[in-house]
Amino acid sequence: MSKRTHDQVEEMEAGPSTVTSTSTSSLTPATNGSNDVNIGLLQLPQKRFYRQRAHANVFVDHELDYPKSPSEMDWSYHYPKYFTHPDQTEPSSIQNEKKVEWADVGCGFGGLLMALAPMFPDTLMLGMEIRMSVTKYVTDRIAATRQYQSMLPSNSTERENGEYQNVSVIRANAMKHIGNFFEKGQLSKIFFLFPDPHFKNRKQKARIITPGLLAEYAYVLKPGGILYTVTDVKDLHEWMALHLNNHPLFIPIPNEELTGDAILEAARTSTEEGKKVERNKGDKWVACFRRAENPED
Amino acid sequence: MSDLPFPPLILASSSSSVVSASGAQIILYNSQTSKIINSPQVENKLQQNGFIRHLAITNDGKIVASVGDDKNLKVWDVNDDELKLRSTRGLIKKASHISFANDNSIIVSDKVGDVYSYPLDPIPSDPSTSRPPMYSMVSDPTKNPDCTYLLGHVSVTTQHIITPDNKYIITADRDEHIRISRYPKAYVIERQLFGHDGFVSALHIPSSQSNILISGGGDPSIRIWDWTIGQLVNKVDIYSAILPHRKVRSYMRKNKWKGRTMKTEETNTAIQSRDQEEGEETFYSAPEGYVLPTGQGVCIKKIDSLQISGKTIILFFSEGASSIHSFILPSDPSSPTTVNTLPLPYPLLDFTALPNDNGKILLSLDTAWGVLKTNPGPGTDARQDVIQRDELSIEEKESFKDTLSILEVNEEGKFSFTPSNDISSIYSNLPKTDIKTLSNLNLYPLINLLPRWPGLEEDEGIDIPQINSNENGNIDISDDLISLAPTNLTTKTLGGTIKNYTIEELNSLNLKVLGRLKSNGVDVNEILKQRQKKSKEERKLKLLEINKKLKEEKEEIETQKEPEKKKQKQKQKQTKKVVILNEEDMSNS
Repeated sequence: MSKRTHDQVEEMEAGPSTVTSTSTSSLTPATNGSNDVNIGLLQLPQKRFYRQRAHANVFVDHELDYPKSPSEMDWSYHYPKYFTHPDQTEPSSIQNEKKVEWADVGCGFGGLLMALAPMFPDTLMLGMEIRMSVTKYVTDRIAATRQYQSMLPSNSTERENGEYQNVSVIRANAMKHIGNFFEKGQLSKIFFLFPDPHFKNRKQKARIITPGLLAEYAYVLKPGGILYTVTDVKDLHEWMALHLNNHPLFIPIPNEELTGDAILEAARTSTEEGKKVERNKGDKWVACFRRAENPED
Repeated sequence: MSDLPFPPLILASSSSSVVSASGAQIILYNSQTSKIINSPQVENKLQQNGFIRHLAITNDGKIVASVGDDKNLKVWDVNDDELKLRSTRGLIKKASHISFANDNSIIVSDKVGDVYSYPLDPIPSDPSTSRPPMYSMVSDPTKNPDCTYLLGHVSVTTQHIITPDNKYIITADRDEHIRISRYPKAYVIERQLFGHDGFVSALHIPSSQSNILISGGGDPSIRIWDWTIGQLVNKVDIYSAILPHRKVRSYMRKNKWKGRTMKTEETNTAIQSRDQEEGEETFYSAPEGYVLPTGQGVCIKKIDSLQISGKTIILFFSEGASSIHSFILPSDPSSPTTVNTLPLPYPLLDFTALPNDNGKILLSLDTAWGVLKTNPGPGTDARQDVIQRDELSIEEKESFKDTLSILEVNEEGKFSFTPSNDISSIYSNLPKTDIKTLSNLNLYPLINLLPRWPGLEEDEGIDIPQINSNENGNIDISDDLISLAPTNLTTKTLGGTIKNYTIEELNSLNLKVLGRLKSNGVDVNEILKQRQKKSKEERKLKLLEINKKLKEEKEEIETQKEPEKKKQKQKQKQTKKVVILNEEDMSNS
């Protein structure tokens, strides 16, 4: 966490932090002049109010909310356009046929999701993050962006495809409960971007890619689905590549096949960690794998 | 005085024998020949260090595997007159369950969630490659040269079972998961069985209906599944059967609320006397300021089945309860069934079916409970309280003979005690120890390990005040609502929070909360600006003070230096004088 200078703090106080673009004035909230209506417009959240330390113990029981099984998960809370709440009477046209297809495990401040959502408006994507503050940040960011999008006139240049209705975030421990959220073979892409390296020997069991967990990831990923890993720590990259290569259900995708892939480009550059690595002129290592078919027997 | 027996903690059966582990000793009783075979005797200290926690025997009764507190996996040959040690291998982590596979390899589940397959005999070590260091085997379980890594859970793997068709392995863990993976290619997860509300600690597949899986844990009911299609078939309520017979409970933890511990004024004795007055309802309640884990202290430790007159009777017990239970598994498993209970005089440690003796089961009871050990009170981390005794009366020593008992189960699942001569011979072979060792033995690890503790999450660390709704709003501000999840409200309407904040309320909140309210559309700019001004001024004042102090310190140092400088000058003058004098001397002489 870098300490901001006094001037930077003042700048931030002046208006909401913009991520995508320009005009800040339209996002200032209605002041208390209008007392009758009391509508508050959402603003893009500022990271400094949502800081939390980077390491969270994965093995401990957090007070997490997870469904008992994938069929019991209420997705209408996350994707109101595509799922109706069981209590509501008016059915929507697209009723419960869509499923979440892409998962960003450890999504952090949501950079990848916000970049990919307008590029693939028909694909439902979910971020999973274990830290409470950071999840709230992404939630507020999505809510504010959705509201802003819905208020834009239809001919505005800022309008994005899908209005960010296809992206959401959930506070979850993906290592423990990924099977509770997704059915067998539901996902077609899964992202592990700049995960916690856990350098110490005794902590290496907490890494997000371990031989035991690969069986779970292979379970939720459909055959032919792609698993992306990007990291700036060489040791971690070698560890992840080694275990994924050794696992019979994952086939490495040579880097040549993926050059120019917009998704991979977004994965490398659009996250907060990715931008930080670029600022510090560090290296990024990429390893992508395809999920093989189950063996015959 | 070493004359009290170690209780047999584990019992297991083969087709012709019953084997028990007591302390670090294994005692095998061949029911056909009525012969007792022992493992070699060990002295008292080793009985504790190598205290056997897990035992398995092959179906033909020829090989026995044991794991003790020393984390050694020992494989024994059953010879005519002795149990001969075949091999010893060290496990990386404490085991939670072991069993033999069809090819006599040993499947071990451990406390960190990994499941391994150890070949019957150790793999001869390749002299050219050295054994990897322990830390690397901990961080990467596939590096263990002694065994094959099968699969891993992210929490304790409580039990595993290989299906009768030898094609799948079913594993259960503390996070309510029951996972069915292929065997031996256990990296392919076939399906998962969802539905348990708490940890799963016992699995069983009855031999009569091999597509049925029975699972139990801390839940109010035991679940019956058709694991081949992944469907729940039936639930059997067990709380009413188990709760009245709970004897052993876990220790208590202090109720830490936002870093401040609640102080309790009640003393230990007051709590215990109140418990006795009110009876069972307060068995599982903690006094003010302390918490007990969730789940009412129920932990199903073992589920087994007997075939009696063509019917399948399912037997089970809960760790720390002084009772054994049964129910009939109907041929249509979805039909309702009732639970029979037999209360026992002491907490039950284990049970097993006697081979070739239709309907008879052997029980092992903890006769030291209530005599030498009791439940821990609040304020201690110990798992049990020792009742200080120097001597035991003759009657109490006699009651220790009840450690082993035999029950008969009839075709309706009802129990009855039967006397038998067999057990007296097993009993006389149990290793002996003294009062002190017995009272310190912890035989109930699961009730402390598996249930979850309520409310022990470390939050972000800020005290978010509970502001209740006023006349206008009907939203209660709690931590969750300060951020709005994307809902219908925020997308269709233009509103965020429909709440009025007064300036006093906003002043009482801290900076983090204000910032989040800001992103939710509440106008907090004025207050943030005011606070900023305040902090600016405070910073200025601080800087001024610090500068003052630095100046003062500098002045002090300088004034200190000045007298020193003067002294130095004087010294120089003196030396000069001396020098000049010397030169004068020399010039003179």
